[in-house]
Amino acid sequence: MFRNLKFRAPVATIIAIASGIIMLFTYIFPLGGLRAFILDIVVIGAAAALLIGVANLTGVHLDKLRKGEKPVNSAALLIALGITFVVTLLQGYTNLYPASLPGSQWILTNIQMPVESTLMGILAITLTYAAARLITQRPNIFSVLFVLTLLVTLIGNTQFGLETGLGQTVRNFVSHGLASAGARGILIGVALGTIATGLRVLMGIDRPYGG
Amino acid sequence: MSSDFNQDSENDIPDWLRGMEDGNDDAEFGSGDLFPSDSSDQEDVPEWLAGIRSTESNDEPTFMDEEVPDKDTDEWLESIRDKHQAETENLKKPRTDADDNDDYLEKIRKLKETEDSEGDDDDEEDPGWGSVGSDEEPQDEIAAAWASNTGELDSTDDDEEDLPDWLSGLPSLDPVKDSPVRRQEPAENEDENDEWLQTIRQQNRGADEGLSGEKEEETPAEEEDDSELPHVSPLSDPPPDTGSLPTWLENLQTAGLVLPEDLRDEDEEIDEGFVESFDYRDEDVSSLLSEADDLPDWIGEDVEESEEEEEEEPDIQRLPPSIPQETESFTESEFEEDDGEDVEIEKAELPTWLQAMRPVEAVTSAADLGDEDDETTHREQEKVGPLSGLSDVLPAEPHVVHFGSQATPTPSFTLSDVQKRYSKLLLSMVEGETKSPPAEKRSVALPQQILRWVIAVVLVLVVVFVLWFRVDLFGMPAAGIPPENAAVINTVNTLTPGQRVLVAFEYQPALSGEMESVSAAIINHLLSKQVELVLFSSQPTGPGLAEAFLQQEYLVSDYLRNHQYVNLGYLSGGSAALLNFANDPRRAMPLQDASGANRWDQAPLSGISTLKDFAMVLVITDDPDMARSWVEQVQPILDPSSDGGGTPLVMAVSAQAEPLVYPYYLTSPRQVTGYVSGLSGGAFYESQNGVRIVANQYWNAYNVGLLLTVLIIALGVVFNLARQTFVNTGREKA
Amino acid sequence: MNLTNLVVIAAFAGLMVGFYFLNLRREGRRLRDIPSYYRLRGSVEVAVEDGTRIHVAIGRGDILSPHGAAALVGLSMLQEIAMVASESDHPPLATAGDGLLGILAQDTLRASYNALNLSASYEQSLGRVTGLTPFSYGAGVMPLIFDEAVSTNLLIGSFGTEAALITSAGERGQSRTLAGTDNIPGQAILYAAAHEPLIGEEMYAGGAYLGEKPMHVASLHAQDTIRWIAIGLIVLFALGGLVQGLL
Repeated sequence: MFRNLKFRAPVATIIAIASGIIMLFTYIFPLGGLRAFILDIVVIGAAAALLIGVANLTGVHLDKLRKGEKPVNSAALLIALGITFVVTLLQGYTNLYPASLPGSQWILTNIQMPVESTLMGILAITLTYAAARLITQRPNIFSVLFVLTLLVTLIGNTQFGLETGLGQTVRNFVSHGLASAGARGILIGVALGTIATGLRVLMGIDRPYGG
Repeated sequence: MSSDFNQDSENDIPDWLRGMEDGNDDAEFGSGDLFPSDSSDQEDVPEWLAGIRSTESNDEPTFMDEEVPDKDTDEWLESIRDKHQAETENLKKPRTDADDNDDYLEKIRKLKETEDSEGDDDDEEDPGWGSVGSDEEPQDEIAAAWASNTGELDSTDDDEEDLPDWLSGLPSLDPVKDSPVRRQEPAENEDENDEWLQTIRQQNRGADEGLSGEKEEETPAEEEDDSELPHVSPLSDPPPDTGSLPTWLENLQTAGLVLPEDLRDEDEEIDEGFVESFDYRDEDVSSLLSEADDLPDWIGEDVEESEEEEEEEPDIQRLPPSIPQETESFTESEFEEDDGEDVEIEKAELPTWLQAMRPVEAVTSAADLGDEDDETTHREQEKVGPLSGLSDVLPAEPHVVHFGSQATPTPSFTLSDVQKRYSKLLLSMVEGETKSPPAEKRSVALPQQILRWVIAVVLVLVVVFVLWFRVDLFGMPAAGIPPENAAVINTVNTLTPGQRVLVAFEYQPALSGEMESVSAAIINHLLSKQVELVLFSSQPTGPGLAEAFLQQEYLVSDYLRNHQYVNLGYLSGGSAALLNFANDPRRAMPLQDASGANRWDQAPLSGISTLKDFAMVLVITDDPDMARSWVEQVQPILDPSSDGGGTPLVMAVSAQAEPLVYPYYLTSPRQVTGYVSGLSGGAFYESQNGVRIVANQYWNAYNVGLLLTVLIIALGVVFNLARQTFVNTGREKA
Repeated sequence: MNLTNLVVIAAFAGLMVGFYFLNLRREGRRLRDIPSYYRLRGSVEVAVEDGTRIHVAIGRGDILSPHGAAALVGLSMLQEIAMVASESDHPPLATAGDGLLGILAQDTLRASYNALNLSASYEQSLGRVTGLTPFSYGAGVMPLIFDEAVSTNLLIGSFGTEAALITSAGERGQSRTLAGTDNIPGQAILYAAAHEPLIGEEMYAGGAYLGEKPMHVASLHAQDTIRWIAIGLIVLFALGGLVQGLL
C-alpha cells in the first residue's frame, strides 16, 4: 500500500537519521536506559532478520525450482531446509520428537560440520594454488615479499621452525611486529571509513534503504 | 468498390499489363498515343506476350489490325492485329461451333437484332455500372469497352457463333451513362471508331436482350443513353474460360473492368479519342450507379437473376451494418426501380486484397443468416429501445458491454498463408529484440583444473597417509612455549573448584577442526579444576558447536557426560548485544527451567548479575573482529578499574587472528590476560600440561602438510618464473 | 559523558562539511588514482555491451556491528552499478550473507529500477541471500558465478576467508574480480586471489570514485585529515613515551 506513496523516501530518511542520532547520543550522554531499550529492539530485529534471510533463501530456490534452473540442487536444499526446520522445531519446543531419532544436533555434527570443514580444505588448496601463481599474476616487489613472508611463516610454524628458533623469530618479527602493526594501521583506516560512512548515513547522503 | 477502379489501378495492374504501358514516344500510331504513356513503366515485352506473339502471330487478327499503320511494331501486337482481322472476318461467317451455347455475345447479338429494329441509339445506353454487383457475363465488360468506340464489330451480325473465341470471351463493356465517357461521346469520335467495336456494341445490346429474355421494356437509362457502358464485372468472379482468348485478355477480366486506356501500347494506332472516351480514371463514377432507371433491360434481368441466386447462397459480401448506409445504398438502393420494387442487385465481387480487410462481422453475419427466404434475417433488428423491431438502425446498446478498461480492439484480417508466414516472421524478429539470450555457461580453463586436482590429490594423500598410519615424524613441542600461552595456563591454575567460568563459542563450523585442537587442552584443564562451565554464543551455530565439542571422546569427564554444565544458548544482535549481555546477562538472556522457574536463580548461575561475577571468561573464536568486539565491549565491564584486577579475559583464537589479538595482550594493564593461537599453541599447551589430546593427534600431519605446502608453493613460483622468462625471451627474439 | 567520542565525531562531521564547500570552489577531484576503480568502470561497460552479468557481493557483515559500514559501501556501489547496468540483457545480481543485507540489497535494486522507469523489469531474485554462515555463503555464491554468465565480480563488504572460494570460482569462470573487505585476513587472501584487490580503506572510497559525489569526495578528504592527525598523535605519544623511558 505504501510502496508507491511519494513520501516513502523522505519518511524512511527521517526515521534513519533520527534513529542514528539518538543512538549516537546514548553513547555520548548518560542515557544507558534508552540505549538498552533500543538495543533490546535491535536484538529482536536481528533475530527476525535471520528468519527473513532463511525466507529469502527459500524463496530464491523455490523460484529456481519453478523456472527449472538446476531443479535438483534447489530441491535438495529445500528438502534439507525443511527437514532441519521441522526437526529443530519439534525437538526444541514439543515432546513429539522421539529422542532415539537423530535430531538437530546430529544434523549439525554429522552434516554441517563435515561439509564446512571440507570447504575449508578446498580453501587450503585454493590458497596454495593462488600463492604459486601470485608472482606471475602480479609481478612486483610486493608480490615477491608476500610469497617470501608466506613461506617463512609456514616454515616457522612447523616443528623444524620451533626447534631452530626460526619460529620464534617469525613470531616476534613477522606476526607480532610487521603483521600486527600493519593490521593496526589498516584497522585505523577502516575505522575512519566506518565513521565517514556512518556520518554520511546520518546526514542523509547515503540512503541504502532505497530512499 | 469495384467501381473505384481508378484507385490503385496502378498497383493492381499486373506486370504484364504494366509492360504494355510503354513510354515509347515514337508515336507510331499517329499524332498521339491512344493511351497516354506512363514513362515509369518502361518494361520490355514480357515473355508471355512474346509467346503470344509467336503463337498468335498467324492466328486471328486483332481488332486493331486495320487501323494500325504499317510500321515497326512488336510482333505480339502484330499478332493481335492479325487476330483481330481474322476475327473480323469470322464475325461475318456463320458460326459453326455448337458448343458456344454460353457465348454471351451471341445472345447479345440476338438481342441487338431485335433492338436494331427499334432504332436504338448505339451510342447511348444504360450505364453499365448498374451491373455492379452482377456476376453475369463478365465477358461483356471488356468487349463493351472496346466496342463502344471501335465499332468494328458488326453488332448486327447474326453469325454470333462465328465470333472468335477471344472476342466471344470479352466481357461486354457498356459505357456508363454519365461517365466521362459520355462527355466525350463516342458519337464525337464516331468517325474514328472502329467498326468492330460498334459491332460489339450492337451485339451486347442484343445479348442483353437475349439474356433477359422476358424483359424487353426499355429502361430509362436505355432510352437516354444507348452508348455502350463498360460493364463492370464482379471482380471476384473468375472469368469464363473462353479457350481461345489470349491470356492477357483473360487477366483483364479477372481484374475487373479494364480501362481501355490501360491497355496502352504505343505501337498500336488507337485513336486518341477512344482513349479519351474511356479516360474516366479520375472521374467520379459514383453517380453512374445512381441512375438505376437507366439500366438496360439486360442488366436489370441480370440483377433479378443474381438476386435469385443470392437467395440461395449466403451473401458473404454483404457489408456489415457498421459500414455507412450510403455504401449499401450505393450497391442496392440505387438500382431500385421507380416502381418501388426492391431490386436485389448482386453484390460486387471484392478483390482479394479488399476481402482480406473485411471485418469479421461481415463474414459471420452473413454466415449466420438463418432463413434465407426471410429478408429481415439479413438485416439486424433492433431488440431494445423505442426502435425495437426495426432493422438497419444504429444499435441502442453496444454489442458488447465493457466494464472497466476496454480491451484494445484488434482488427481481424483474413490472411493468406504467405501473409501469415510473413507476419510470424516479423513478430519473431520483434520479440527477439526484447528477449534476452540465455546466460552462457562459462567453461573452466583446463590447465587450471588439472593443476588444482594435482595439488589436491597430493596434499590429501600425504596427510591422510600420515593420519591413518599414525606416522610419528615429529615430536611434540616442549621448549619455547609462548608467554601468552603460559599466561593462560597460569590463569586457569588460579581457579578453584566450583567457580563459574563463562565459555563463549564464537567460531564457525568450518574452523571447528582447528578451534577444537586449540581449545581442547584449555577445556580439559578447566575440567581438571572442577569449575562450573557456563556456555554462551552470539553465533547461531555456537550452541550446537559447543555441544558437539564437549561430547567428544577425548574429553573424558562425567561432568560433561551428565550435562551438568549450563548452556545459555544463542544471543542475537552480534556485537551490539554483547554490551547488553555484559551489563545484565539476566535481562539479555532470560532462562527458565522445565518447571518455569528462573534458571538464573539456580546453581551454578545463582549470584551472577554481571559478567564480572564470573571467575574467568574464555572466548573461543576464529574471527579477529569477534575477538576485538569482546575486548572492546565486554572487557571494560570485566575490569572497570582497568587495573588488571578484574575478571580475566582469556582467548583461544585461530592462527589468523593472532596478529590482531596480540596488541591487546601487550597492553598494560592487559586487556587480554592470555591467549592460545593455532594448532601450535594447542600443542604447546598440551605439552606443557602433559596431556595428548587433539593437537597431539594432528601435529605430525600438520607439519607434513605445512612442509608439503611450502614445497608446492616454491616449486610453483620457480616454474612460473621460468615459464614467464622463457615466454618473454621468446617474444624479445621474435 | 564521553566527550572524546563527541569531539571526534563533531570534528569529523565539520571537516566533511568544510571540505564539501571547499571542493565546490576549486576544480578537480584531487584524489589519488586507484586503478582498480577505473578498470571496474571499464568492466561494467563491457559487461553491459556484451550482455554478461555483474555480480555484486555485499558480504556477510552484520549491519548492527562495525562491519555494517562495509556493507553500506557495498550497497552504495551496488546502486551505482545498477543505475548503469540495469538495462542490459542480464542485469546486476547482488548476494548477501545476512538477512538484513539481503533486504537492503533488494531495496537498493528496486529503487534503482524505479529511478530508471524499469519497475516492470525488476525481479526480486536479483537480490538474494545465498547462505547464513560465512562458508555457506561462499558455497552459495560459487555456482551462481558459473550459472549466471558473470563476467565481473565485485566483492565489497565484510568477507573473511570464504572470499577465497568466491575468487577462485570467479577465476575458474574466467570472470574478473574486484574485491575489498574490512577483514584483515580477508584482505590478505584477496591480495593473492583477486584480480583487483582493494587494501585498507580503499574500499570506502568507492562512492567517490564511481559516483563522484561531492560529499563522498569531501569525506575522503576528511578521512585523510583525521588520519594525519592520528599519525601525528601516535608519533607524538611514541616520542613522548620514548623520552619518558629514557628519562
